[in-house]
Amino acid sequence: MIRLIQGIDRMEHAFEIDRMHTIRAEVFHHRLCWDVTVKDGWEIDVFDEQNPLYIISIDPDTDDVRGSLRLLPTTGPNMLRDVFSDLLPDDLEVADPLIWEASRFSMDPEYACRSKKCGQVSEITAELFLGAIEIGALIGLRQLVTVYDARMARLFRRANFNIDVVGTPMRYGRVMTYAGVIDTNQTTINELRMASGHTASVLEKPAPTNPLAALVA
Amino acid sequence: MRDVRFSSIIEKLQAVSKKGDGRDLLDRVVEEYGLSNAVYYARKIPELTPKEHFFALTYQDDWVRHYQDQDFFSIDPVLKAGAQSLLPVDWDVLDRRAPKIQQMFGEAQDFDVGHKGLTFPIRGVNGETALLSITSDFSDREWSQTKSIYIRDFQVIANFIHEMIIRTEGGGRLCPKLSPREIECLRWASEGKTYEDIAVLIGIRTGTVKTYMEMSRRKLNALNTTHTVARAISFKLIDPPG
Repeated sequence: MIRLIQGIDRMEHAFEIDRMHTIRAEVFHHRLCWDVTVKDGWEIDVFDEQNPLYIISIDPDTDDVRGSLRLLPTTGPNMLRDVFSDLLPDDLEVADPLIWEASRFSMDPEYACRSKKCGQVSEITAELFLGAIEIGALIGLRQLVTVYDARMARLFRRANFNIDVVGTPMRYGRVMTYAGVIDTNQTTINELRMASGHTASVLEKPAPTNPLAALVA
Repeated sequence: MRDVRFSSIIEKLQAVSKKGDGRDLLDRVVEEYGLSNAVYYARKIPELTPKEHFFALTYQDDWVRHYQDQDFFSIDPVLKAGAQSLLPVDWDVLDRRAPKIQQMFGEAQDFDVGHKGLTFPIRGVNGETALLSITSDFSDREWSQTKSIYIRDFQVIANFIHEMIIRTEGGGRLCPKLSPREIECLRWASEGKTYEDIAVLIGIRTGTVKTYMEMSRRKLNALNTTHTVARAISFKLIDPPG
C-alpha cells in the first residue's frame, strides 16, 4: 500500500523518512553509482528541502518501507528546471500548477528481489506508479513530468506506462537521460491497473487525524 | 466528470476584467457550488501586496473586522496550512487545541462562516504563494460525500481565481507571451491537426508538441486544447482557421 507523506510532516514520520533516504543511498550511490551526495547514510538533496510529497510503498505486514518516489510542483524548484533543462528546447519551460514532477524512484533491493510479479513489473513498482497517478488525479493535476534513465524506460514499458518523451534525450555522465510526461487521469490509472492486476486504489486510508485523511476517501 | 457549473465558473473568471469585479465573482462561485463562503488570500505577491496582505472574500464585514481586531491573522491555522502544505487541507484535521484558536473557530460560527472548510494552497508560476478557502455548513455525512468533488474542481478553480486577481488587481491586461513554437503548434491545432500530425509536420516529438500545448494552455488559462485555440484566436495570437 502507498502512504503519502508531505515534507512538512517528516518529523511525524521519522521512520519512513529515514528508511527512504537510506534506500535511496543504497540504490543511487552504491548500485547505480550516480553523482549524488550521501550524508550519514542518507541520500538527500536540495529538492528534499522544498516540501515534496513522498509516495511511499509500505509492506502491509510489517509496516516497513519498500520503496518511494518524490513529487514536486513544477512552479517551484525542480530537477527538470534546475538540473536537466538541456533536455528541453530553449523555448520550452515546464511550469504549471497542474503539472508536478516525479523523481527519485527507488526500491529497497531486498524487497525488489523478493517482490512478487504484478504482470510485467514488480508489485512495488506498479504500486509506486499507481500511487503517484492516483493522488495526481484526486487533486485535479493534469500531468506528471519526470526525468528518467534507460532503467526506468524499461520499467515504464513493462508497466504499460504510456509516457511521452519530451525534447531530446541526452547523456549526463554515463547515463542516457530522458524527460517525459504522463497524464494523471483515469485512463492512465486503468492502463496501469490492467498491466499490474490491481483492482482498487493503492492509497492507504490515513488515520482521521492525519491531514491527508481529507483526500483519500 | 466535471459538470456544467465548473466550466461556467471558469468562463466567468476569464471574462472578469475590472478591478474589484473579482470579489463579486466569488459570490457566484459560492452560489453555484452551494457553499457558505469563499476567501482568496495572498501574502507574497509584489505587484499586489507591497505592504499588506491582499484578500477577496465573501464573509460578513463584521467578521472581517472582528478577525482583524482580535489579530486572528497571527494564529489562524488555516493561513499556516495554506502557506506550508502542498495538498488541500480539510479544516476538520486542523489542530484546534490552543485556546485562541478554539475561540476563533467558536466565534466564526456567530458570523456564519460555515463550519466545514477546505483550503487550497496556490503556488504561482513566479514563485508567489496564495490560498483559496471554501466553507460550507454541510453535515459530516454530506461533507464526506461531496468533499472529493470540491477537492478536484477547486484545485483548478483556485489557480484560475489567482490568475484573475493578479490580472485585475495588478496592473493592466497583458496579452500572454507565447514562444514561436507554441504559436506554431497552436496554428496547426486550430486546423484540426492531432498532436501526432503536428509532430510530423514540424519534426519534433509528440510529447514535445503536447508539452508546448500544455504550456500554451497554462499561459492562456484554458481548460483543454479546443479552449486554448479559442483563447489564442481571441487574443489574435493566431488567425481564425479557414
